[in-house]
Amino acid sequence: MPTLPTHAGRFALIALVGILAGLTHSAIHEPLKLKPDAPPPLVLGTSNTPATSPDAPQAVTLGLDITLAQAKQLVDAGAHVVDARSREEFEAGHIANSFWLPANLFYEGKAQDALNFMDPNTRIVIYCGGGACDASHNTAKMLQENGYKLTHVLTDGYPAWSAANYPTATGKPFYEN
Amino acid sequence: MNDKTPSATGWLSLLCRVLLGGLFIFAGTLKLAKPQGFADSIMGFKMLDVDAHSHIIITMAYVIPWTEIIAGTCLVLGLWARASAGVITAMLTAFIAGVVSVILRGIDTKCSCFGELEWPCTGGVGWCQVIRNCVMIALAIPVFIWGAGSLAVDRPSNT
Repeated sequence: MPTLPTHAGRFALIALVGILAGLTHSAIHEPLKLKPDAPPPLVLGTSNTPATSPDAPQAVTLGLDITLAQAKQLVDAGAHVVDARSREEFEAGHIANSFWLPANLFYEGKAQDALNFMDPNTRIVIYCGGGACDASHNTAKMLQENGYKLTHVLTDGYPAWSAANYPTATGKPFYEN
Repeated sequence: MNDKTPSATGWLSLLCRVLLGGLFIFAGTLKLAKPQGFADSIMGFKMLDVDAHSHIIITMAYVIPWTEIIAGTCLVLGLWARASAGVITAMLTAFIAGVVSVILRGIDTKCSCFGELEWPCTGGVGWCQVIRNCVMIALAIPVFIWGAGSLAVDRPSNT
């Protein structure tokens, strides 16, 4: 006569059912995106680029991750700026004219307020707290999924921008006023 | 159903397993509703290299919430209560280890333990999540000691 499994057997069975359910779900669900795509290449410092200064650096092809100087050039040329940090951090200080778009606004279906003001054909500079923060890459993924492919991430984030004394602002996003 | 006369410990076990199981069903459902957000949170813990272990991260984004839901459901029903409390305690212990690791490495990231709801914790990963998980482990203790308790599918000798 078959016997009921022991506590250890039941433990393993519950875990196994969870694993099988998860594997099945992941197989039928559309693939998750772990990293943003590199944007179409943009060469800074040539005639077809947004470089505005006569002493612009020599031509550099921009990828997904960009430096502070490259971000400044893009912003000066009219790129959108997106803050991927928390609301509290945004209101305490952000790059002037930033949109506030942490990735969770996309998950919650609340990103449209900002997207209404954004042109998908304009370059976008995204930032978070710099260093080990990955919020800007998460926002880049979500922007790309919504048709905004020209995304760049300022890897050193807001601390570097602020330390360079580039234009900043405080309070609510400009489009909420 | 348990035909034993309900006792105070039986009702305590019932209360604890419904609370803990319900929380896990809730947490798992929120995560499954936004698997991309949960995968982002797993990456945020920086315990796995995204390039080398992308398949593990994606698998975890589904396996963890499904295991939460299944173990939570068993616990609420009082089905294999000690084993399901054991699965939940093992998961909570792993979560605590992950959160402490993030704190010690100084990483600023979100927990997403309850999807976008982090009550009672606010902000990024911190000691609040460790305390919250310890409280949830404490809810499992009566189930380990007294079994499923009242209103359970398990028979008293089978918990």
